[in-house]
Parts: sequence; C-alpha cells; structure tokens
Amino acid sequence: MTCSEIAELMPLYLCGDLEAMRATAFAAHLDACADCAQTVKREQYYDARLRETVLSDTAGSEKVTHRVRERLATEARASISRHRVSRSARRFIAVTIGVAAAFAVCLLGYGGVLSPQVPHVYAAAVQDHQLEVIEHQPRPWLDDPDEIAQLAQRQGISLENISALAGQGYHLDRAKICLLSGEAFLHLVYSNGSLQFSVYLRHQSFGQLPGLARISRGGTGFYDCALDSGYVSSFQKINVAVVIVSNQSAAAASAVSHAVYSAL
Amino acid sequence: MARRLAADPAAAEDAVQEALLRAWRSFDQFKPGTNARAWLFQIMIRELYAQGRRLHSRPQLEPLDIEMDKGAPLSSAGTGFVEAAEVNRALYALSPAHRTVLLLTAVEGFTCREVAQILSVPIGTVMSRLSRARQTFRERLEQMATRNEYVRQEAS
Repeated sequence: MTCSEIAELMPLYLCGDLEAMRATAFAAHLDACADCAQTVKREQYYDARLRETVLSDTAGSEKVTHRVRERLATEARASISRHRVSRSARRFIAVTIGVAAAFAVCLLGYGGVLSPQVPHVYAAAVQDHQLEVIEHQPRPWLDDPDEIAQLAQRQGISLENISALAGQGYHLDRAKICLLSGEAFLHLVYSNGSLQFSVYLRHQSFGQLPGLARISRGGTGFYDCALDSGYVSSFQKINVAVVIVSNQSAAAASAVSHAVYSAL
Repeated sequence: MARRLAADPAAAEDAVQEALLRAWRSFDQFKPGTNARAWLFQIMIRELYAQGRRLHSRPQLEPLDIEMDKGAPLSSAGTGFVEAAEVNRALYALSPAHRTVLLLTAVEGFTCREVAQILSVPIGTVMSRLSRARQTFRERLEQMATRNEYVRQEAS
C-alpha cells in the first residue's frame, strides 16, 4: 500500500470502516512509514478534541423532551378519540412516547446523558459495545484465531493474555481494532452462546487510563461506573490497559471484571 | 449534534422535536433490523435542511477573539474554556456539508457507509468531504494555536 492510497483510505480507517484485509495492509504501512503514522495520530488527536468539546456541552434537553412528550401525547389522544384503539396499541403509543424522549436526548447531544464526571473513553466504550455488539451494526470483524493473534501482537499484546480471558464458560468470538476517544484499542468480544461482553485492550505504553485511582482493589487501581446502557470496569495489569463493558447487571459485570483480572 | 448544525439553540430544539414527531408518524416506514439511530439522524438532518435557517447564518466573531483570548489561560492539553471555544470556532468555520460529515463520524461514531446512507450520497462523496473537513478543521486550529502563541509572547 502506498502513501497516496493511505491518504485516500484514511477516512475509512478512522471510521473503522476498512475491511480486515485492507485494514491489515493499512496498519502494516503505518508500522513502516513514520510520516503516515504521524498523520493518522494527528487526525485522531483532532477528532478526539472535537468529540471532547461537543460531548462536554452539558446544555439540558429537558425542555425539548417535555415538548415532544406533550405533542406526542396530544396526537395520541386525538388518534384514540378518532378511532377505537386496542389496549396493546395504547401501550405501544405510551412506549413510543418514552422512546422518543430518549431519542431527543440522543439527537441533541450526549451532554444530558453522560455524566461529565465519567471519562469519555468509558462512555465511548459503552457506546461502541452497544452499537457493535448489542445492535450488531455491520463492522469488519476478524474471527480467525490466527488473524486475531497477529492483530493483537501488532498492538503489543501477547496471545497468552487473550486466551486467558476466555474462561467462565465464555469463548473469544471476534475481534477488531476500534477507536475510543481517538485512541486505538483491540476490541475483543467474548460470548457464552447467549450473553456477550466486550474487552478493550491497549498496551500500557500508550498511557494510563483515566480515573483508575478512584477505587482500589489489591493495590491495583480499578475504575467502575454504570451508564445508561452498560457497565464499565477498567484496570491496568501486566502492561495492558483493560476496559470491560457488559450490558448485564452490575454484579455480573463485576464478576466478569474479576475473572478477567484473575486470568491476566 | 443538532445544536452544532442549527442556526441557534431554538432552531435545534425545533428540528429535534419535528424529527421525532415525523419519525413517530412514519414509524411504519422503518425497517426492523436496520439502524434506528441512523434513521433518526437522517430524518433530523432533512428537517434541519428543510428549516432553511442554519449553519452559515451563524455570525462569525473573529474581531473579538483576539481580545477575548489575551488574558485567558492557555493550555496544551485538556478542554479548557479557550480551547473549547477554539474548537467550536473551527467547527463553525466549516461549510454545512463538511461540518455534518465530521460531526456524524468523529462525534456520533457513524461509519462512512452509514453517513452515506444518512445523507443519501455516494460513499466517495462522504470520504472526500470528510478529508476536506478534517484538513480545514485542523488548519484552522493550528492557525489559532500559532496566533495564541504570538498573543502570549506579546502579553509577556
């Protein structure tokens, strides 16, 4: 892959849109070309600054949420009075009003959803898990163990670590590189057939994860938080920064976190 | 997202409200199993375009900026007031089309393919707009950084 091809494909790479073959070639070029690697890092930095700025805008969405609720309720009442509406349809309308309010927050911005105290990398991980694992949005995943191992090695993460995580009835299902707050993480998805959780790994040389000093277990800093659509637990061990996201209960997420910590 | 694309906060709230009502009324057109979030953003962006009171009508405050920044603390990292203001200024300096693709990808996390669907344009168009948007955004911030350094040296 040439430098001009890198420049052409960069939008796809930065969006995580590049299919596995070309993503591998792209990453190999970055390993060999300092100029292109620097360009990618610079673009990721400015993307991250933009994201931080927009997401830190905590202007409330309560007013528009209230207006939407009222308009939908008025329209629903008018519809019910015009027609005989079944009980299930009424329930659907009520649910729709609630969902619409949630989407109002989404469209206006995340400021009202995400606590400004939660570091953005964790909020980004929860959003990534929701979109890519729970909602199954199409992404160029790798599922071949050898390819995943190669991908991990390029990130400075040994195969033993990845294999060790597949305990407690879970197996490694798929993997890809993803960007959280502008930083590349190895995203592993583990499944036990019905439930899935995400593990985001990054070599510690890329810097400390935020907030780890808040809670301490066994001398290693942990960070745990619950957001609307998932639970996050993170820690650093053996030169690897780990972020775990699960949409199960807080207790289940904590159990997964302890299992991964023990396995590493 | 709406606040960064509309002409003012009231227009953003109107667009979100109308988009949600439109989505509710045309929910039968939504295909189950497809991306509901992308569908909603598509409706909202169409609503913003339909409002016809967006983006470039936002006033540029260039002459005031240097004065505002003179005594303000400068930091090389973090999201201090000055930096956030600069990022916003660089964002609003982009054309509406470029700002839209940059927000949808860098902030909302949509892929280029999803953005192409949301905007109903070819993916090549999204890629070229995104490259151009990133370049302009970056150049603008780098110009501001250079200017701030000059102002800081003058002040000291």
